[in-house]
Amino acid sequence: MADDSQEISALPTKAFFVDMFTKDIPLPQAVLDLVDNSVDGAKRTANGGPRSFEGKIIEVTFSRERFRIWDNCGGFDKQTARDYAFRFGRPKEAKQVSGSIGQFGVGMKRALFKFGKHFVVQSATKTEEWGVEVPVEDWQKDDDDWHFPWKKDFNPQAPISTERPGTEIVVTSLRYSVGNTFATDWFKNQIVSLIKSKHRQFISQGLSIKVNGEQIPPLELVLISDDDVHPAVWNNIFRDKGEKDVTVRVIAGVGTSAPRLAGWYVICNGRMILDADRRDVTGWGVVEEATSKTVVPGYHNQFARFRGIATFDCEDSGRLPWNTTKTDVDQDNEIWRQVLERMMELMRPVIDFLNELDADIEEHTRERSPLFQLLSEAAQVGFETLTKDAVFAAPEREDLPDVVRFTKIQYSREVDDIDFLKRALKVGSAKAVGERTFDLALQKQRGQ
Amino acid sequence: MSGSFKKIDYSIRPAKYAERRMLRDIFRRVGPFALPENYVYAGFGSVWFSDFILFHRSLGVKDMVSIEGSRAAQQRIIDNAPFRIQLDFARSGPALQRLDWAKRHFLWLDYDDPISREILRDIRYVADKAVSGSVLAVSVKSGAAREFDQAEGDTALQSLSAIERFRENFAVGQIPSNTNEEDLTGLPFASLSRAMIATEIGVGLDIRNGKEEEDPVRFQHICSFDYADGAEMTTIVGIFHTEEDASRVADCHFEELSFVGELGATVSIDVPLLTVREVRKLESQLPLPTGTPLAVGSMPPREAERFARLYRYLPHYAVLES
Repeated sequence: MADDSQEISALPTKAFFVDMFTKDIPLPQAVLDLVDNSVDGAKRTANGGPRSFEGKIIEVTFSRERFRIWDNCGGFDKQTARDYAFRFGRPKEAKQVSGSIGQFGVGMKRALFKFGKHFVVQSATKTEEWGVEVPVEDWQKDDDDWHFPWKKDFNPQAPISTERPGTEIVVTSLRYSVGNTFATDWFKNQIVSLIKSKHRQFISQGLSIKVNGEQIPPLELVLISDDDVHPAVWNNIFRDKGEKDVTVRVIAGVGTSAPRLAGWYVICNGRMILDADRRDVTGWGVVEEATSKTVVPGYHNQFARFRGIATFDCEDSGRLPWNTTKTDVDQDNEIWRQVLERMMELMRPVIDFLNELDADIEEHTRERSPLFQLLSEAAQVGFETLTKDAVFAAPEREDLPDVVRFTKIQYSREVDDIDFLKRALKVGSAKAVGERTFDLALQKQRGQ
Repeated sequence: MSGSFKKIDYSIRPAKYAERRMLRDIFRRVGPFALPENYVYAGFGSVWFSDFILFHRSLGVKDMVSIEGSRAAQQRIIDNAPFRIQLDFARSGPALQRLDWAKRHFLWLDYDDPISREILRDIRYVADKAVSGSVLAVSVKSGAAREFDQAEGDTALQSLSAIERFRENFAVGQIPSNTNEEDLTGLPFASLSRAMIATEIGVGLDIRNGKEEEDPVRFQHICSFDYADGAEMTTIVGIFHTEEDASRVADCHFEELSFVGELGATVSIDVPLLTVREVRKLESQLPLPTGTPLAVGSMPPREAERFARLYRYLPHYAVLES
């Protein structure tokens, strides 16, 4: 008979906990989580307006030996550290940054444990300076004591103090594979590219982010908008009793032809969740079940000009349609499901227009297509300036002036012969050889 | 790897000639690892085999493999191969897999093309396989990205800019994020190409060094070359070594090579234009004792200075008439 007088302990060992906890987060994501925390700091102390993050700095450096991030974004106080920042998971009563992006209370710890075996967090607010230092291996030895020790002295390398509030995190004794990866340019390129897009809104509002010394510019998200061509814009506020309002804006239109940039952008509280998404999650290739009719075709490079943006803002970030790692939308979120319907509606006329554009180019060639010319000359604006409700506007092919009909000729000849003609006709390309020989033959035949 | 040998006699391209001899001087210094004659040389021989001839004659390298993608000229290449060079008629990808990677290599991947995903794949493969002490040189065409020409000549319906094409063709991690259209031609493209090669070596090593208990392999960049004999080319040269062998790399003293100066330097090989008489006049003063100015007389000072920097590596040409 088993002795059931003693209770069964389900308390995890620290080593197991840390291992499980850090496994499911990719390394780049862990770095972004720390940047998100700094951005939340910046949001707390933002001065409002279009350049609301002016003067705020976040600097990230990583190498084979060390990871470091510091910011001048206000820091956090001892009480926050004690009650929330270092707790695993967010206690229900924890205070929230309004419109925060680091909502899940796990990002910082998960990143620190993932990176290495020794970390120091030091922070200064206007009234307090404090630090926490954790040699992870020592800390793991005692499975009953889950406290982190305060650091005795406050000595950050970053210029932070009660006069210049901010936070510095340094991780050393990096895990072997983490250090190896931090040492590659590949990883740096990835991080720069991610921050450029994921934090574009904050950077364009004045936040300065540097990665290994490189200043990161924001990803430009622009659409064609002028008298002839204008994106669709739809605004809505989702109000639910007892909940904070969720403000949503959906924009769909055209930009330059760039497959890499084409698709849907989903932004929650300023943080990019999806960029240039072209999956069925954002409505591409969706077929209506009852009729088997295609609602929106699947993505094809013909739609390389498509740009769609859906922004969600809410003081309570728990209401936003994102997953816990901020890498995708939460498809079960009720607001998302309603907005997706509108996204697909708004997309349809843009797709129709891009099909028209293709037909026009097919008929007239690129150089002479009136629609193509119109787009090439059109003005582009940042999506943030598109605030008023509007339907997608673009000219119909029939409305544009008639043009002389052209057809393309394509053929192949031996390279040596083409090179010979290039020299003889004094032209620089195979295309020019083709055009020049055609013109000469035409002149001759017409007796000109 | 395509047929540039049909247009240019490799042996008389002066900048390439100088580069080849500089590479020889780099190879010569691997003594702390092993004698150069015990290395394997692998390169893209074409019909000229100039590099093979030089490395065999002056370093004594015997074990040599020429990778040749051009099947059209197969018989001609066989007829031109000296010194029992092994010929592998295949594209570089599969041919690299057939090398005996247990041996130390001098490897010169001298591509006729601008950087591409295939080239980066080759490089990553080498980074995964090369043993400590192996020297890798990679040359790529650097006048303009292939995507630049494609964008120029594109007649498709929706044209894409060169930089869009470039970003489509490579992974995010392969391209420095601040790369833009201007980086796709001229010297910026040379520098971008080298950075991308170095990045690829880095990521190849990151994956290779996955096991903590094994001595990690590093890549020490020795120097780079920029030159143009007609087509602009750029080359990056470095040596693979385990961390334990780091001191052997130091003992090679690559930085003491006159053209290197400091590790990682970019050497531009500008061939000076001087008459035979002028060359003689300069040679009588060289090597220049420190602090002594070069007496140039009526020569363009820039040309004279170039000569003084590169003279040990430059070719002398004469026309033989029978």
